[in-house]
This record gives sequence, structure tokens and C-alpha cells, in this order.
Amino acid sequence: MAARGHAADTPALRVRDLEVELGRGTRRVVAVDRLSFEVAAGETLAIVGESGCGKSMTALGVLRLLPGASARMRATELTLGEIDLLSLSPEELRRLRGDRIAMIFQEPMTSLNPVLTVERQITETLRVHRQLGRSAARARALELLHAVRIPDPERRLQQYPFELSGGMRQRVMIAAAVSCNPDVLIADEPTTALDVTVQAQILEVLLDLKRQRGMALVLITHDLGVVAQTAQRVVVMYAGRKVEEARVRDLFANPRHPYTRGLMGSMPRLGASQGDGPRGRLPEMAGTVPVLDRPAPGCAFAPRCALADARCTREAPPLVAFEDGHTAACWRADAVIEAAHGVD
Amino acid sequence: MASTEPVLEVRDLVKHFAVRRSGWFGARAIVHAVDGVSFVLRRAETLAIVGESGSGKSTVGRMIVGLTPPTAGSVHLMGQRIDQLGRRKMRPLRRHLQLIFQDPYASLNPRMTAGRIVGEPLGNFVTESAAERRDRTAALLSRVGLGAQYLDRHPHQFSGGQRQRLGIARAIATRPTVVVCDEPVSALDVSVQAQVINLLVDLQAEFGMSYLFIAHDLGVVEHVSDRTAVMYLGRLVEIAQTRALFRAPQHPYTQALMASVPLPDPTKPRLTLAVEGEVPSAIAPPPGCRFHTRCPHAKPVCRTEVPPLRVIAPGHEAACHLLSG
Amino acid sequence: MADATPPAPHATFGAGLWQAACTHPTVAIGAALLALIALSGIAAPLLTVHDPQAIDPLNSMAPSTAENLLGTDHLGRDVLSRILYGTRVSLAVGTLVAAIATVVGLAIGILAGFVRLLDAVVMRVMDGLMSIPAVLFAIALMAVFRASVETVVIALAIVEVPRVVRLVRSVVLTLRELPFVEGAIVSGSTLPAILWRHILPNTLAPLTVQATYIAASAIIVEAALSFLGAGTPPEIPSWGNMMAESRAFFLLDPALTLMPGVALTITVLAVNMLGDGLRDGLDPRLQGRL
Repeated sequence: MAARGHAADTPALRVRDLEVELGRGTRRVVAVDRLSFEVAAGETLAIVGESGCGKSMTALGVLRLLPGASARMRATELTLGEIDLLSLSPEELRRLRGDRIAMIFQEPMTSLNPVLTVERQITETLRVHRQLGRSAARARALELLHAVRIPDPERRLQQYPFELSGGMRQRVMIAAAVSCNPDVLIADEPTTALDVTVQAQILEVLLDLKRQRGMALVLITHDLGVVAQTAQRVVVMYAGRKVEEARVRDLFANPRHPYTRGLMGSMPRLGASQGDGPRGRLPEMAGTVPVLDRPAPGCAFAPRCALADARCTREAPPLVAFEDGHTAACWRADAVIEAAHGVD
Repeated sequence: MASTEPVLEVRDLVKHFAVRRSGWFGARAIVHAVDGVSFVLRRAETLAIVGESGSGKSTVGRMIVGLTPPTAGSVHLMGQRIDQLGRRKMRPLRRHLQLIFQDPYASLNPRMTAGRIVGEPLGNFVTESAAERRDRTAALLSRVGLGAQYLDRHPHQFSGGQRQRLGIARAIATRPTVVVCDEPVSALDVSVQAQVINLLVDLQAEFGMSYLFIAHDLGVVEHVSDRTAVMYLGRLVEIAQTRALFRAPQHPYTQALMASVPLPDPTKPRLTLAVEGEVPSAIAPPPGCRFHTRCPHAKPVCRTEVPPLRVIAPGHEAACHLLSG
Repeated sequence: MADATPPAPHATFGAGLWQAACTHPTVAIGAALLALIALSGIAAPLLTVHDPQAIDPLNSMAPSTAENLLGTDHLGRDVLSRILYGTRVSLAVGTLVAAIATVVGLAIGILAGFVRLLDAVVMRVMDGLMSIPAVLFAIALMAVFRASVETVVIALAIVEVPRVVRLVRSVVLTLRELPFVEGAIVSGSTLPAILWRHILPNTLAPLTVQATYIAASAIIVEAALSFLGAGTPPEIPSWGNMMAESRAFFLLDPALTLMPGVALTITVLAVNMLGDGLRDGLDPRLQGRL
């Protein structure tokens, strides 16, 4: 199925200056800080970062699903195709979610209703958004279970979430999420809770669905391996901010931000023992993931950065554009490249 | 470097858990968590056990340290059989056999200070004055990269990586011979993982401990271990020198496992679907080779006969009918 | 990787109590109210010149005067001083029952949670005890022994022990599976050391909450028993006795019956506020598991 017709230059999802604030008063924390990104139909954008970097809050902010009492979101622009999400009423938004924009979560057990059968989980969305009758919805549900490659789908329809394995639950979640052919699918750590052999299967299903339906896929993950194998473009987040954005090949070939570089370096890679030398130490990044409730004026990564100078701790670096849409927020981006070449 | 002297030996370890199937009158079912696992851990060596969920790797670790009683088989620590000792006789041996937990949050008592947590094993095995113990605890903390100023802090004042350092300090406090590391870095952020891995490697070089390193992350395993054992559904399917195993995995499951890891390199080929399906239930594990339901090369014999672990190269064993020559 | 970190538990039990009082106003209000009530009971001789037992038939059923602020009852006894002295009985019964039930229940509960052989036997005995209605049991004990405050306390404590045992046992069963207790086992700590260092401190929070509920319930049951004439002996002024004695004159002066009732209500409310506040304020992690 093809994507609904957009003007060629209209991205499926465009986010400008998204801010998410948690708590109030002295406990106020900026979880996402002026984040902008866009994703085109048929494209996979990975948002990568560690715990507390704001990547999950970004997803909830875009869907405007933040818990109202304790969290607030702002943005200068938030458009889904031609639709301005910021101007919609809560009721209009609710009708849009699950229909034109959908989300899947890390732990399917908590987002599936434990007392409903698989059939009900999937047809619920269809019957709400598409007003399908029972048998039509059931036929569509079967079709969807085929699409996510669940073996023996007729039997699975009658099962409850607890009767399914983690991988099967995630497939059901995906089936329910894509049931209305959304333009944008946001997947928040969809394979983190799964075994590696099952992860490969689930990623394959997601990418296939994206290709067939021309969806835009926003994949939120902490795993650089998953990023490299699935995404076209990558946004790297650190302490609520975008520190780097690039096409996936450019990012891995030529990371501009010291954090991105450090993240890649500190990951033990498969096949690394095949060299002749003795087993070395992993290059480590000093310090720990920052706690957001004590923001410093400068670059959030400066305390952990080997290249940081006086300016880094004083002033937050702006995002600077390099070639081919590669941007990075680092005062020392040039030194990063030099340092890398010095080492190599 | 690793010597050949065995410090820990596990023979035909079996663990079956009884569970009740659904409903009031449901029959009692047996979970075959571990089914006949044997291996030797040598002095100053790191032996990794890898496997996916349900492989039984963590249960093996728990049986070794005596937190889960084995159904059958034996555990020998430095030549002495320890699996049937009972709480009281086991206690003095615990200073030689320690455990590092996966969860850096739940494995530290929230109401105790860092000093008391790390000093607990010292108090159990070393008689010394309070001041001496405090000095020794402070030295341990600084050895794992936390200064003495942390002595009086409580766990919730530490980050995940720092908590794991506390757990490591507690485990090495009595200078154990064997440390079972149960997924020691899998709960940590990537940027913190490297610090903890390096710390573990450094401590081993310094104190000559042997690690049984239980993990699911193949990249981490390849980096830290001398030898690697692969488990699938309660059985050991392959064990070899790490370098040999990662260069040329022999068992179809090991091959599938390695092919499934997404490489952080976009120029490498896209994900290949290495294996279909998921790990079957351990309540009714498949007969014969337990991997035959997912194995792309399965033959009729795989469905009926259990393949034994066989030496296929020096120091390289695998349990597969297809490798029998 | 989870973005949320678990809530920070309080480092020590005392710090937890203090923080609960600071963050949950019900704790502060309940505690202040209770302190006021306790103080008025203790300082009763200073607050009133009347002997609560002094009969003055000529001045019976008197309305409120400067001399007798809340008037007098049918025997001419000063109602205010009787209510003040009645505080002593209620609070003593509440505190003692809570203390005895908690200490005994804690000991049995920890044993049941840790010694598998004992567990089955103890828990069946507790189930048996729980099936006895508190009021009936107390009346039966009164029939056997003489009526006294001590007998009331013992009767109520016996009935409350099983609830504490159940709570402690469930907490212990949860705790003993937690990695930090396993960590202590692996560290070579002895069983008593594990109980003392790891189990006991982590049972205090839910136990304190339970103790407040026991106290509240004991205060009510004591009043009910005294009202039925099977509790505190009539020579001791207690709120239940006062209500029972003035019941006959309810139409004449309903205030005589209502005033001790109001005192009882305020006291129980204060105890329950304290308990509810502590439940929410103390270690939310463990509370969620129960």
C-alpha cells in the first residue's frame, strides 16, 4: 500500500523546537530541550541515546501523550503531513493517534490489555477508527498477523497476551499499531526486551512493513548496532538535546561529536578478538550519564569530554551544519576530527 | 594469564523446577532449566556462558554459589564438593566464591551505607577493629574508583554504574578465588559498561581471580573471556577458546546467534534472518537436539537422539550430530 | 533502557518518618492532634480540679457552668475531668495492644517467613486465631478472669497478632528473594545477622503503619467492650463506660452520651490520619508490594 499523497517536500512528521518539561518549581527538569527533526515517508530515523537523554519523552511529547499534571510540552511546529498537531483539540488528537500516527513500546506486556484476546487488541483500533464490522475487522486482523509473520494466526487470535512469548507479543503490538496504515510509526526500544535472535526477526518485520506501506519510522533505541542496520538517518541525543544528526553512513564513518565518538568506541564489537594483538582495554568515557535536575550553563557533555576547554563549560554550543545535512553541537567539532585522525 | 589448574568444576548439573500449570487442578509440570551441564573453570581464567533467555545460564551461576540447590550433579570448589554442604558448612567457603549481581539497584540494601555494604563480607571473615575495617573498606572503594568520601552514602545517592562498582567491591572484599558475574553490565548504559568491564579486567589481572562471566551480549563476552560456553535451553551446545569460537562457530545455534547481532557498521550487510522462531518452552523441551525445531540443517536423527558434546578440535567441543564427521 | 529511576527509599527508618511527616501533612496533623490528646490525658490532674470519681448527688445533671465546664452526669461527677481521665484508658489500651501485637507478631512472622517447617503450622494457628471475633473473645476472657484493663489489652493483642504475623511473613517472603538478601547470604553472613541487618529494618515501615491501624481498632473495641459492660471496670472512667452510664439519660441530656463519643472519634481519626500518612510517606516501594 502506498503512502497517502504528500507533496514531495512535505515530511511525514516535522518537529520544531520541541520542549518537554517535567515537574514544577525547584523540581523542574527540562527533559527535552529545543529538539527539531523531521522524517519523510518511507524513511527510518533513529533517535539514539542513553537512559535519561530524553528520547522516550520525545516520543510521548510528539504524540502529546505526556502525563498532563506533571509534564508540559511546547513546540514551535509539530506537523503530521499537512496536519498541525498543535492546533488540534484533545478529541481530534485522540482520533488521529492509532490512525495516522501510532506507537509501539519496549514492554508489550504493559501496553497490551491482559484480559483481552489478541483479536480484540487488534480489532479495537480498527473498529474505533475505521468503523469496521466484526467479521471485516477479524479478517483484517488475520491479514495483519500474517504480515507480522505470526505462525498459526487463527489460533493466536483467540489467545491472551500471557499465553504469548515476548517476541509474539511484540508482533501483536506491531500488528495493532499498523492496523490503520499510519503515516508515522514511532517505535520506542521495540527490541530491547527481546533475545537477539528474536530481535533480528522483529526488526525485519518492522522494516518490511515500512517498505510495503511507505510509513515513516521513528526508531528510538540505545543500540548502535540496531541503528546501523536499520536507519537512514540518526539523531544522537544527550541530556535532552540533539548533539548530532547525520545520515547513518556519515555518522558511523565520521562522527563529529565527542559523545557519539565515545559511544562508538566504548562498545565492545563482535569480531574484535580476531586481531593478533593482546586484548586491550575498552576506550572508556569518564563519568556518568548526567542528572538533569542540575543543569550547567555550558555543554552538558563537557564534564566527560577529553577535548573540553573553557568555552565548553561556559556556553552551550549551537548546532552547526557541516556537509550533507550533517550537524553537530560541539565547539570542538574540528578537534574531534583531528584527534580521531591522530589516533588512527 | 590463565593456568590449567581447575578451581571450579561442575559435573552434570541439573535443575528441574516444579510449577503448576494453569487452573486449580492443573498437573504439575517440570521446567527443565538446566539439563546436564559440565565444565571446568581454571585459575585466573574468564569463562563466559552465553545464551538467550531460558538458556539456564543464570541458574547455573546460582547453583554454583548455592542460592539454588541443584536437582542433580555436583559442584567442586578447589577440589572440595560444595553443593551438598548445607548453610553452616558452606559459610566459611563463601570467602572464596563470590557473586556479582545483574541488578545494581536491588542487590544493595537501600538502608545500609556504602561502607557497611562493602564491609559486610569483611565482618564475616576477617576479625579486626572497626577502624581497621573502615580503612580496608575505604581502600576497597577507592580501588573500584569510588573515593573514601562515599563511605557514608546510601545506595540511592549513587548512579547505576557506581552501584555496580559497590557490588564489585563487596564481591572482591575477601579476595575470592572464583567470582560468578551474572550479567554484570547488562543493566548499565553503554558509556558506563566500558568502565565496569575495564574495572573487572583490571581487578582480575591484579588479584588473579577466576571469573564465570554470564552474559547475553556477545560483544562483551568476546572482549572479556578466555573461553566461551554457549547454552541453549538448559544444555551446553558449544565450548571453546573465545577466539576460536568467534572466528569459526561450529554449532548451528552459535552461528545463528552470532549472525543475529546487528553490527554497528552500516557498510556491513543488512540484517540476515539467521534463524526462525523462538526458544521453545522449557516445560516440554524438544526431544533429541533441543535446537532441532529451529535448526536449518536438522536431520531425522536430530529429532530423536541427544547429541553429546564432542571434541571437534583441540579445546573445542560442540554438541551437534552434523559435526560428528 | 529505562528512563525512570526507582524512588529513593529512605536511608534510615527515622529519616523516613521525618520525611513522611514533612511531605505528608496528614502525618503532621495526626501526630500533633494525638500529642495534644495524650498530653491532656497525662496532665489531667493539672487541667481540672475535680476528682473524676467524686459523686455530688445535689449537683447531678448540671448544665455547663464555670465550675463544671461540660456540666455533670447523673451522679454529679464532672464530665470534663471524666473525659480527660478517659483519655488515659483509650490511649493506654491502643498503645499497649499495638506494641504487644507488633512485637509478638514480628517475632513469629520472621520465624514463619524464614523457617519453612514452622511456616505451615504457625500460619494455620494464625488462621484459626483470625477466625475468632475480637469482641466475643474479649467477653469470654472477661468471664474467665476478672474484668480489668489488662485483660482487655491481652484479649485484643491476641486477636491482632495474626494480622501482624501475616504482614511480616509476606514482607519477609518478599525480602528474602531480593538480590540484596541473596548478596548477604553469598557474603557469608549468618542467619541472625541477615535477619537483623537486612530483614528487620525493611519491615519497620509497613509494621509502623499496621501498628497505627491496630491502635485505632483497639481503642474502638475497648470502648465497645466497656459500653457492653465487659471491658474496663466501672470504677475507672473510660469513654465506653461514660457512654454506657449516660445512655439511660440520653433523652434528658444527649450531650452526656455524645461528648465521650466525640472524644473517641477525634482520637481514632488522629490515629488513622497518622497511619494513612505514614503508609503513603514511608518507603513507597515496599508498600506497593504488599
